[in-house]
Amino acid sequence: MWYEYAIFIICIRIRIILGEILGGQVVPVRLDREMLEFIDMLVKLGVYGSRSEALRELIKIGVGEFKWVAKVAEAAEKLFELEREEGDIPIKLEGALKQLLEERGRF
Amino acid sequence: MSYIDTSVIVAALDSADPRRRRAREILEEEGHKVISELVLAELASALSRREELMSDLASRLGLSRELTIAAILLYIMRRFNLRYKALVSRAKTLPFGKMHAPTAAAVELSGALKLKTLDLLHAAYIKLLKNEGEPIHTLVTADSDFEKAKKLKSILGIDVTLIE
Repeated sequence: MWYEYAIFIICIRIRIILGEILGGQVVPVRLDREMLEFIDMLVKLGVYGSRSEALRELIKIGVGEFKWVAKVAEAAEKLFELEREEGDIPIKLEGALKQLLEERGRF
Repeated sequence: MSYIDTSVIVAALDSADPRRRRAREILEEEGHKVISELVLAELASALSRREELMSDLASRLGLSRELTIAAILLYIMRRFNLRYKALVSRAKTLPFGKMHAPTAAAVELSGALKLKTLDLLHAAYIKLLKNEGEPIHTLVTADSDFEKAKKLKSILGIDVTLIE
């Protein structure tokens, strides 16, 4: 029936608006069947209450694992700052080329 | 597009080497410059053995040694506008079994090129990167052994620019 469809759309819009009010955003994600089956299994086992919650929590874990990347990117920026302060690239490898070519020559 | 050999990057950072200025000029030039994971591994190895430098930078950056090396690699790539290209092809089956694609390509190229292992592996990366659509036309290096490999240019279809 048309009104069921309208209610469905209104519910989705309310969820999106609520999500935005609460600081969350809706992101469409395409998952393969295997991954979706795994998510459903976690929901069925009661680990998570819904697919949405499962994905949100698993993404949080993944983001936590990659925090070191942000640290590295920040440190690379600091190296640019050091270069500006010192007026030269702060990586000094005196004698390294000779060493590299000698090492290559061994094998 | 140029494939930048590790030796050029190391030369650019080596104040004791007369090729430093030329290496920097080349690295600071505009144009597409690509590196492979082998370049990153060789650079990481060279950096890791510089005790004083690593200790100083790790302390200034407030990072562990491992992360400091990653930060330096990222800085070098951005500083010289070097693009790291990962290979799509990862394994190849040879008569002995499955082999990491660059190693398999190195085995295949060895008879014709007669290069030492790391040079041979760089040649293999160039071959695979070209196969995967990277328009590499020049190998830039400070390693004169590449020039001695007479068939390198014809087999890989590239020029060799040697920094002297």
